[in-house]
Amino acid sequence: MRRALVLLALASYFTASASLACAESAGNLYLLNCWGCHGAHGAGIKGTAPPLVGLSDFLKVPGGRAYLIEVPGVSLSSLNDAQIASVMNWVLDQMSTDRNFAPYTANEVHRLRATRLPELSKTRHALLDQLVTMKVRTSAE
Amino acid sequence: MDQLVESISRRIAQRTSRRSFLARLGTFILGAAAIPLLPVDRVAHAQSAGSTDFKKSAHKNPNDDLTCDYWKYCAIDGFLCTCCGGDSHDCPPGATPSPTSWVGTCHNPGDNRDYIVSYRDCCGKGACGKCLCGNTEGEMPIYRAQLDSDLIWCFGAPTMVYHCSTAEIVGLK
Repeated sequence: MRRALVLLALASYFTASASLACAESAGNLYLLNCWGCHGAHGAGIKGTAPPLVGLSDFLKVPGGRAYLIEVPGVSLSSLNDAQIASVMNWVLDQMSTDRNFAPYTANEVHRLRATRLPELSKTRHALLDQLVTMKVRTSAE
Repeated sequence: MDQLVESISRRIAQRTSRRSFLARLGTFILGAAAIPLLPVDRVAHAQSAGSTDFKKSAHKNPNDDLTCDYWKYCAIDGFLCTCCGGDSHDCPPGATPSPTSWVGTCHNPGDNRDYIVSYRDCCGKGACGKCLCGNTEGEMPIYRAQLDSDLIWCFGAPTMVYHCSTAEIVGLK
């Protein structure tokens, strides 16, 4: 019995080590899934990929938190809920000056990514207008 | 013979107008010029044009960046810029690096580590036509466009005209 318990403990240890070894860091998730279009520092490409710099601004307006997960590049990506939460929190932390935000959780991502944005461009512009109205940003670019 | 040619020429001249001939010729030339711009399956197109497929050649060296077997090229799809006047991560003169790229992972047998590699197309100049590779490690079908290398990745570049492809290490796994 004691030997079986020791074996079980060892098996659990090695399983946990293996899954930790396989887990991709948030920075590498960004490199592998976002970097190609948004760039190393999140500058984006005008007309092709929106900038990620200052992304935490969107968390300050109603609907902004959901929008960041509902956009197709995030909600339809091949990443799982935990990976999306991890890389989104990393982007918010690395590319925004205001880092005082409540991090996303896998459960929240799971719920939000089930929603499809019917009017992506309209939603984005409405949120940017709100950011200007609330004086979070000076222009709706 | 002279009479035969004369009779055929006269028959064509009587039945067709010069204007319609010029219109058809213009359509043909424009159509032929537009085909290379279409962002689909450049490998198949280049192979039919008689380009060299280096993967099938005798070269097998994971450290030679002039061949498809170079370890960093594990997912490269297109003409190698190293054969076109550039190098493995720089475009040749006259071609512009696309601001967008697709990203994959390659194993370096030299140090036994996996590297994150950005595949960036060089655009704005006609197809180079040298050292064609069609490596597919980690590639996904077109419905996962961000990981599909058959596309011409000149999104955001001044033109969608494809010249060659580069591979640059951007991270370590």
